[in-house]
Amino acid sequence: MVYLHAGGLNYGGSAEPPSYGHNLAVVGNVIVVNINFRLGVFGFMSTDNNGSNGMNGIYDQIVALRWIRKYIGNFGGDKNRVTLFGLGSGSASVCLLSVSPAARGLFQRAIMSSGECMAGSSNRPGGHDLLSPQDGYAITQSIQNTYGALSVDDLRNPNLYPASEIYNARVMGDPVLDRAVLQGYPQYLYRNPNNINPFQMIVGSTTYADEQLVPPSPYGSDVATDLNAFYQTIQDDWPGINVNRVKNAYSPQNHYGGRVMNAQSQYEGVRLFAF
Amino acid sequence: MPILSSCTQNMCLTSPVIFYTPVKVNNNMILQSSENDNYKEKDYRFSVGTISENIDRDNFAVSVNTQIGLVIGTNNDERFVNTEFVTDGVDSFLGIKYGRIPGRFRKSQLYEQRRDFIDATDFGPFCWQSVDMPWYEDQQQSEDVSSPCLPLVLHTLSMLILSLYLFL
Repeated sequence: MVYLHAGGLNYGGSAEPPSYGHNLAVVGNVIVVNINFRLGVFGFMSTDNNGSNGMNGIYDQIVALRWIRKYIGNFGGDKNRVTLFGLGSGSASVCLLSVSPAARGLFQRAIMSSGECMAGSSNRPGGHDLLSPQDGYAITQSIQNTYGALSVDDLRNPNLYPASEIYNARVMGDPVLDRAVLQGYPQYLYRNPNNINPFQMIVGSTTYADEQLVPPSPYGSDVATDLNAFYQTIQDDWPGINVNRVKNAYSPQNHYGGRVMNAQSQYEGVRLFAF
Repeated sequence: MPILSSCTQNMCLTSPVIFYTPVKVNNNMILQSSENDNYKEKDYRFSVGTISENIDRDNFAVSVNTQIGLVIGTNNDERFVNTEFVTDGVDSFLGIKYGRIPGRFRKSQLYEQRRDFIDATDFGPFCWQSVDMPWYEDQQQSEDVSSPCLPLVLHTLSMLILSLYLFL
């Protein structure tokens, strides 16, 4: 089982205690592999507007999966029974890799926990939308301006821009469509079952996933505002459709003790199926 | 040692066997064999909470022969004792480099340089964190390109136990 750590594609790593796999190895009698991948500006800044770049962090994950396919047998693992799983942005990565031609055949099953790759905005819990190459490159140009760099090559140069100076140049940024990883946007790729790599997937979201991460709510400060924003989100997701049944199914009052965020977490978790 | 020759770059002749070795894992030996991507020289360690910096490697070294060399890991790692993590019967290979980064903003490549010894008794470096968090201070010392930030960590149940202690 290969774990992709959480951290908004901005922080985290294989060496942090939440990623330790000892217990899972014992309980599940499985080999647990945790991997590092590049984060933030180093992992997700595009260098041009033609989609050749912008998901290097995700590409790192693919390289790790290649390593695992090649060498896991040396550790007693079965390269034909690889399950990829992740939490939060790690889950969003699973979502991306599950429709990536470059990752085809590298894993057979996938588990997504509290994160997906087509929610439309990283302001939404667990959501990691994909920016177009043009939008991604616009961000790159603004980074250039901020740091007074004349070109991407300047930013590339560690002598001009040590990592310690630009590491926070792109915080909480979404990945940019990178043709080395994906041929299109996941919300369209998932509509064709032939695009989906794993033959089994589990998708879910923890009701309390965001409670500690985004207090009190990404939408606002009081319950009424939150509730209206949440219902507006549902309305926006289903244009032209009477969404009362959806609203009732995820009613914070009826099912979640009045806690909008918990209702929202559950809604986001299963929303993937809607697409 | 025969175990050193049972794997070539292309294949392993034996099925995987994890060796529990009482032989002291010599730091110098490891450092010499991995000169070009030496995790040990960098200040990368993750210092939160449970992991003690001063460890005695004598008691928990394990090794497994692979196509990329003899990978040395840990078993019953005392750094995890008294934590919520089970270590008894778990072999952990904590930092095996899987990819190299040819340059900043460049695509990574598979790293499969064969070496005599691959030290996986300690975690590899973190990739640069793009947010300031106090518990990541240590890793902020490393540079994204020159330091190898693409290790993987592997935990596995102890399989065939060939305890050399019994024979000694």
